[in-house]
Amino acid sequence: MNKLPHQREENTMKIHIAYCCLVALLTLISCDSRESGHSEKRSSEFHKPNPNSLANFIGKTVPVNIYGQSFLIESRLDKIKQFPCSSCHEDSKIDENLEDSQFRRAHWGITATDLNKNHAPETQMSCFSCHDKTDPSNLALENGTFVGLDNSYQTCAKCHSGQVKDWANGAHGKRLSGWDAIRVVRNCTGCHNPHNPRLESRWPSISAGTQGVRK
Amino acid sequence: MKKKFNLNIFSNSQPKESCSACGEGKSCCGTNLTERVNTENNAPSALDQLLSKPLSRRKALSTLACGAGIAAAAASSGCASLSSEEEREIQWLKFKEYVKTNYRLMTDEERNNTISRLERLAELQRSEKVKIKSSKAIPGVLYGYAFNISKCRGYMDCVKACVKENNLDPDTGMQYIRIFEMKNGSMNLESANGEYFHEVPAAGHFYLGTQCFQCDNPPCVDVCPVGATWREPDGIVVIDYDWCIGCRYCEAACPYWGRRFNWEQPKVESENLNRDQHYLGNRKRSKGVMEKCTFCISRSRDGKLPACAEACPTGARVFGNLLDPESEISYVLRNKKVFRLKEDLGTEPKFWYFMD
Repeated sequence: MNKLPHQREENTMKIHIAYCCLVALLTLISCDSRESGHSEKRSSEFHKPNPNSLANFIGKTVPVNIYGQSFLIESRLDKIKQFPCSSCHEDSKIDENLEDSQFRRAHWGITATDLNKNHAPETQMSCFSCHDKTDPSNLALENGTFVGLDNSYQTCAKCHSGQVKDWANGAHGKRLSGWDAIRVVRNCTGCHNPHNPRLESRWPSISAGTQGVRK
Repeated sequence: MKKKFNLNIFSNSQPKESCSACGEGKSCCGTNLTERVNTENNAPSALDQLLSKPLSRRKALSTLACGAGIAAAAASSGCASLSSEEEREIQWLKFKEYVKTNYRLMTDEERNNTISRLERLAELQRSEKVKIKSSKAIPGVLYGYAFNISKCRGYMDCVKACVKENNLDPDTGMQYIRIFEMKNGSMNLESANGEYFHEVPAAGHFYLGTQCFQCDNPPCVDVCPVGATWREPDGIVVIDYDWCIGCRYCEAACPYWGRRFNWEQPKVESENLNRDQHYLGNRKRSKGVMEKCTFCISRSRDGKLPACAEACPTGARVFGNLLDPESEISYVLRNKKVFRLKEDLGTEPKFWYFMD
């Protein structure tokens, strides 16, 4: 026979405490202490790149130190067709009064007009922005010092300091060595022809997949 | 009533019929014994019936020949063909591979064993000498990837290199990387073209590449019903192709379509085969299992860049160790405006996009 609500005995305090303990215990057990996205402890120890490896880069390199970064760049001196200038010119001075057509004949298309069309207009750039009149085998910096053609990034940085800073730190340009190796990157002129720096358009090297079915 | 045929196949026994000659409870007195013995012996069993059926010699010979043919077929299909040493070895290797345990539960010795079995199978079945690695994650490394959408010009050199490195079948069009041609001014991937094929870069468009993003909180790992896919300590999400049952639940769970299913048996020409393989990476897969980008696990655990990062001529792809504060990827994440796709889903992908 069921008792009416006011006739049922109340639970004693003991039972209330027992229930509370049970609920608390279940809550503690079921709470997942693992946070998503941090499934293992991130220790302060990290793997430093191997300083003795080049990880499948083969070639001559030149050390660079700029914007607080030290790394290596690929040397391109052996890839330049008409280098060194003294191989053709006895007297290695550049005559700044030469006609455009005379330049073209000697250097296969590098004229001031082309430069101003492809790189920067004549108000901003001329041959002598980078080349010095007295020493064409090297590049001239603003303070009168010369650097080899492999260090062309120093002249590029005259106008493109943002890109060169990114390049020094790794956000611009192409890394040639593996990630777990000494950092070797491509020179500015390794990708950009300094006389015609824009990259050409071309066709893709492969067409996108047809997603699964054999043709 | 006497039964002509009983159900006992071999024995002649039948339940003893009760005889009411003796009183109840007393032992048999032998009154109806002769009659009962005759009844027991006369009902033939099923086998007797079959064997004593009258049969012509022609019919008997044809029945015996049929029976012998069926028995020979059953025997040869049931047990392994005993024709050659090589085939027996292949069957044995396949059997051992079938009963092996999950890669994560294996000891190092078991891993080495399974790798030598797989290498031997490749040699026997396809005359290919491959080298399968089982290199573990380098401690203190978490791989990250950054993609410069200002630099990508849609050349797809990365796709071509990926296909070559990972032994993907060029005929089925299996490609881990998708490059989207997006209209300038929009970030809508659904209206972007992932299958363009024309001179690039097209005016008014930019290019954005996707692949498996190796999420830190991967939904594909959570839904796998058999535990065939997991996240390695260096952050790469891997698949054990021999454990996958091909249910494609992970493909449904991935918000980026990072995982691909093999609808057909992938075939790679021997001269195009990349013989430097990893158990969790670019080794031979079969029809009916999932596969995906593994950040070229066999290369990156060796210190090299993944094939896509190495192939990109514009330098749009940056790869490295997120934990190293001096790595290129760390510089990009600290100094560039970066974003990830579908950030609101909480998958924590390790693939960031940035602009110059």
